Amino acid sequence: MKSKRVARRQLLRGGGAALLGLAAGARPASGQIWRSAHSEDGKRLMRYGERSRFVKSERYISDNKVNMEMHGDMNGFDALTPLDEQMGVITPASLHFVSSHGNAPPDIDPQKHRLMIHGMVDRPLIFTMEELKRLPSVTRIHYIECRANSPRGGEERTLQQNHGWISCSEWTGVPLSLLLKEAGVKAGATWVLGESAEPTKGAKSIPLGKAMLDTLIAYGQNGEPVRPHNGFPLRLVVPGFEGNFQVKWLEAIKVVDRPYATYWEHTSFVKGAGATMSLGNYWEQGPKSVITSPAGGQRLSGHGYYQIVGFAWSGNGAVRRVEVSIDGGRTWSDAQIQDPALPMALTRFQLPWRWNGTEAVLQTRCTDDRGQVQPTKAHHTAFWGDWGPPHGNPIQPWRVTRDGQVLNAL
Amino acid sequence: MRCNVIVVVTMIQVCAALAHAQAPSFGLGRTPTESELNPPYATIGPEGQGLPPGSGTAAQGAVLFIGRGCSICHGPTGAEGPGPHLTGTHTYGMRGTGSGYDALYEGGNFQGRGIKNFFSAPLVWSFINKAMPLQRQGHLTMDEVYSLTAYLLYRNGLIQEDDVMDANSLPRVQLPGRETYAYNPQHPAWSSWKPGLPKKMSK
Repeated sequence: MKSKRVARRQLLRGGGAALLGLAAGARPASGQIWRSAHSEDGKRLMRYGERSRFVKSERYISDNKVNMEMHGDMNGFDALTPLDEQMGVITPASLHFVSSHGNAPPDIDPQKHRLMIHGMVDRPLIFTMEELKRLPSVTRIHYIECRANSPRGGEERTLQQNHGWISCSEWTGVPLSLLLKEAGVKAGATWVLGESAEPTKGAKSIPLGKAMLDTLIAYGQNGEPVRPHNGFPLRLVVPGFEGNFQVKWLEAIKVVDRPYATYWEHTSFVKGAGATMSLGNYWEQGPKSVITSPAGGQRLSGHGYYQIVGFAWSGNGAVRRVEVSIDGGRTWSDAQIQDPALPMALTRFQLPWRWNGTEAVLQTRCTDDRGQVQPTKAHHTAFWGDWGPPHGNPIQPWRVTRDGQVLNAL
Repeated sequence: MRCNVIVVVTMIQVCAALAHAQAPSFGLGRTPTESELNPPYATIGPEGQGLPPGSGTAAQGAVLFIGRGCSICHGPTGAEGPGPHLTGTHTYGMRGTGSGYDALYEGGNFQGRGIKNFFSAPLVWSFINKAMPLQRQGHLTMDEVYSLTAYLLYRNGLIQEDDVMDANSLPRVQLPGRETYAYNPQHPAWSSWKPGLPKKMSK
């Protein structure tokens, strides 16, 4: 008991010394001089913080080959989230994935930006950003996942390459239903069109039912204005729907009586071209999970104790169960789901694991609260066909070799 | 009895109308002007809803394609790149990138960016009008957009060189891309979405 108290006192004293050290420009453990908090540079860092120079997490910018596959020309741009370095369910806005057909993020002055609600409404309306912020707002945590976030084969493919088109944020904004009620939706309307101010003027058709249910017009992301690459100053958040529904740089909502099949909608976002079974649109993304550690591209440092950790999510609701297999799917154990486990949000899971140095194949299986179960690659292909699954949610196996290397085993 | 039925039907109609036309409750926002409601870059509907007056032919468009700089990105005839290939049999802009996708798309079974893969001709018009030339939108007149649309349709063998394209004729041009898109606004999954609808849908 006594020794514990001493230890605590020592700890407190140590902490105080460290704080003093920071203020006075002392020498921290790494041996480098920290910038004085009272220098101009130190003040700049206090006004708007910067991460430690020892933290190097970055988005992975897709090469031209992927760019061509994703966008059909060199104008699109993509950057993938480093999921293995994400500490909780929230993705830092600076690391939120980016995928755009739109040439470049537009540089929008929020003072000049307007949102128009028009089309089949009784009272077309134009809102300034200031007016939108005066309206009742909501804050909700939701993931956004690119429709193309489909894991592929190839031993060397990393977690970031196979799964990096997903991120999760706390979004703040106005429910679209509120604005639609203000404008008064006319009888016969069944869809809304979200129109973007981006250079290629993308627009996306969204079913009116979803627009009225839980769609958000967001101006806030993780407590700050939405970042330019993610749609500053205004974007749609359509919870659980494919990424392409979540129109960035939103400038208009047009209420219409049919899907508008706009340029990117019919050239990119349809499934099963020429197939007997054809799909026009794809709504909620299926249940999905991935182990982020140990995961493709990593190496285990030695035998012994590890936490198998990762993310699970579903476009249909909350994650109910995550099962982990360490033998390629022969046997399964339930992982512990960590709070918060919110609907249509990244959810963390973990399971203790002791690696004895033998080869292992680690994989997870997610069940959502609608009872849907994440499929294997074989089931996924049987269901959708083998041409470019719209949203690849197959089980992702990672193979741990005897020397600790983790490889993609899909 | 008949009177009751009329009353009930009327009540249902009144309720439906109320549900749709609720009075504004916050009083924020202003009424857009006519020009704000009908901007030159308005999104055009798939059957040509909203197409403005104007007209043009492929012959006129051929001159504009060079003169307005379309050829700088798309090549002299729209088939050479380096930007998206708009004409020719292989209408996807990634040939020769070694991506491994060439063979897959070569059969024409891909929803590429080419004109033939558009869902309808008015959407070709709409995209040119809204987004082209990239980063320099608003430099084309309505007649010029009709002419350039006509040129691309002609180069893809979908209309004749002297066919006049306007708000009436453009929606009537048949595009093969329509066949590859399961477009069915009357389908319950399309007209009244609710959570948990089947993921797959036949045409």
